[in-house]
Amino acid sequence: MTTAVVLAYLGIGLMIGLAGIGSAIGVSIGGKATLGALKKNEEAFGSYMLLSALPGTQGLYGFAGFFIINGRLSQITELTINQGGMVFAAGLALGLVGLISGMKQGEVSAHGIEGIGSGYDVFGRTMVLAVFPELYAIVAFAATFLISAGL
Amino acid sequence: MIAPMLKYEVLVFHREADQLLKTLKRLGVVHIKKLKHDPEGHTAQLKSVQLHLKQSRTRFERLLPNESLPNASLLENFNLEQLDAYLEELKSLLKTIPRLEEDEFHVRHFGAYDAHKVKALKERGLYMHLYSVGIGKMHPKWRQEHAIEPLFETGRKSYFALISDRAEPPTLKAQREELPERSLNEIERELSDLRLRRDALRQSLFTHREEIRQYLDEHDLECLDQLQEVNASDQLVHMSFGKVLMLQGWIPKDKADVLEAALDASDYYYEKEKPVPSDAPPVKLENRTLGRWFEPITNLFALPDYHELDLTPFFAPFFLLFFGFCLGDGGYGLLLFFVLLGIRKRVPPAYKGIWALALALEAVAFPVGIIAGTFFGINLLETDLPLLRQLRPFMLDADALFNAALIIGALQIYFGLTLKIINQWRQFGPSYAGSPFGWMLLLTGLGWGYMSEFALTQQILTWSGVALVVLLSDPKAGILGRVGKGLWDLYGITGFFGDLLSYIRLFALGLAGSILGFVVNDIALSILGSNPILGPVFFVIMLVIGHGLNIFIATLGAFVHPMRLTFVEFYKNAGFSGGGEAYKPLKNLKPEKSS
Repeated sequence: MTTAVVLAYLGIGLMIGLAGIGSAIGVSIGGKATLGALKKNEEAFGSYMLLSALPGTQGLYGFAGFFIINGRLSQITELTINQGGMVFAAGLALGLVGLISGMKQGEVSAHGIEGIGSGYDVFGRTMVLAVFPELYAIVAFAATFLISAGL
Repeated sequence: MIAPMLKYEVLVFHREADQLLKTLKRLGVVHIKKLKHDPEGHTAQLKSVQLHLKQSRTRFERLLPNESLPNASLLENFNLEQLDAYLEELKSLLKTIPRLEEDEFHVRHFGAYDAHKVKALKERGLYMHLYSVGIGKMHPKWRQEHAIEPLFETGRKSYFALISDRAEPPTLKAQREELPERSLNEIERELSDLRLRRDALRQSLFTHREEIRQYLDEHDLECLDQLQEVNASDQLVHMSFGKVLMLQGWIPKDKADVLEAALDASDYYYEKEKPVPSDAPPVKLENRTLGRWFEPITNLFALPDYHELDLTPFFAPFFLLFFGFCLGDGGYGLLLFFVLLGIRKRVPPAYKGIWALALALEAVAFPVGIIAGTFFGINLLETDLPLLRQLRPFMLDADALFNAALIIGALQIYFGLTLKIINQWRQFGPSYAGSPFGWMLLLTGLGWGYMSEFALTQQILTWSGVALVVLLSDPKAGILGRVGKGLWDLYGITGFFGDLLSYIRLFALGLAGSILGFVVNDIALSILGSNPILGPVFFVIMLVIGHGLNIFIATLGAFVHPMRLTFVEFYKNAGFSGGGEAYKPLKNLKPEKSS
């Protein structure tokens, strides 16, 4: 197995793994906040659920990124070290950004859930603020798409 | 658009103030201007009643059985005024009965145990002690030394009674057990009574559930009604040593005739004024079809200030397009469109607006999804069907979608700047429109130059834009202040690039959704070929569950991300300031009772 292939595998692993972990942690943070808020106001469960689900997308970007890269890799007969490095870089970027943005998005959602639970009408504003951290995972996903086009 | 408002100041003799408020309440069109916030704490008690009602409703819904209890009796003379007492009693019974059931379970093991007989023994100087010990662990010596009677055995323990003439129990290597305070019969009788009462309470709540809900609704409305009356009464300004009171209120211009006719009929003195820039009239959005459907989205963030443009009808078409892009699948749009059409008769009137909005979003998502080249995860660009061959020139591949997202973003930013020019001109005069116009020139010059070359025309556009931004960022300031503020504002050019990049989400979300749809199809197809009998069954299950989940996630993202593009990028570039107070007229909240 060549270094290029090892680098590419590592990149794909980081891409799916880290982005998925970010989403898992993010939705768990939202879920925990929901359980707390339900004790104060159980009527707003629909809002809590939507906000808790928001950080679930980073893991999907990781998976979609893997899918794009995988499609390109299957067309390449022999991977060069440059191409392996590109896949590693894309995986590291999307994985790390997905991990941290998922966690932070979960925290923003959780604060909004607590606010709604306490009787404040902040659903719409939390929705808007909670997608702020996600932009960077989107940018990393778009970068993965551009990198895969250049492979 | 925002409904134009008029300000009215009405003078009234203090004894007629209540009558005036009743008249205004009947008309239901005047938004009382808030001058003081609950100055004497009048609303505290009403708010506590409101909270209490809310708690009663929650408790009632929680304790209400799902279905009728066929063997239960009903409470005689069920009285709605005593609802709280019933709920409290039922709550307490639901705690007491399980405790008693545990006691019953415990005492049942002691057979015909009778606490009275144990007491009678005690009076004669004989004491009964209860013990438990592991099976086979009872020492034979205990029987020789003490009067022991085995009672019963569970799977792990055997229980026995020891009669002694000493109050202190003898020390044995066995577990002491508490003597039950009551006999089995007593517990059973009490349990039976409590169960009957519990079932009667629950059945009564079930039978009278609609009356109870109506009772709570009416009281809630009564409370709200009183709250608005107290709030309105607090806003009366005392003049002439309290003999004359003044009330200020706002009314939509088209309702002025109704108000004036009522005030004239009662001979009240009033004055009306058009709002001036320092006023903060309430905001009533009055949009037509498409704009009206999008008003709930505007309300989710903030209402516009009365003096600025309502951006709802301006962001609505973009929102539709963005939703389609982010959903990224024509099949999903078509499916949801028909689902929404199918439930149209079941939608409650209060949700008709939301339903219409959802229908419009899905109606646009279908053609946009086809242009994006995806139908239930199938890549239409790679599908060779005669109909698709004709549509293919209109479809965009991933690279074209990436560019399309940026182009649409640039268009919305330009549109926002155009609205800002109009808004600033309308509110503050032409000089205030100079800076946003300068930004348009500057961005056009730079964009044009980047795409072709920085020839003379592009340079003229760019530098005239810079000049306008530098000189007109703050038209009120002196020349040095203007230049300083203008140069600082020029730094904001980085924000425009950030805004533009933010529109990449339109491409990325759609792409991610369509890839996941493709993966669902791929997995389902591999299942189909795995087994001739079960394969088709699991194929269908996989498609339904997989696409169902993808639709949920894609729809959530396709709704939230356009919201962000609207409220952050578009609102910022359109110069939205917001903060308007919603128009809430004083009106009768209680339903009219027929005499």
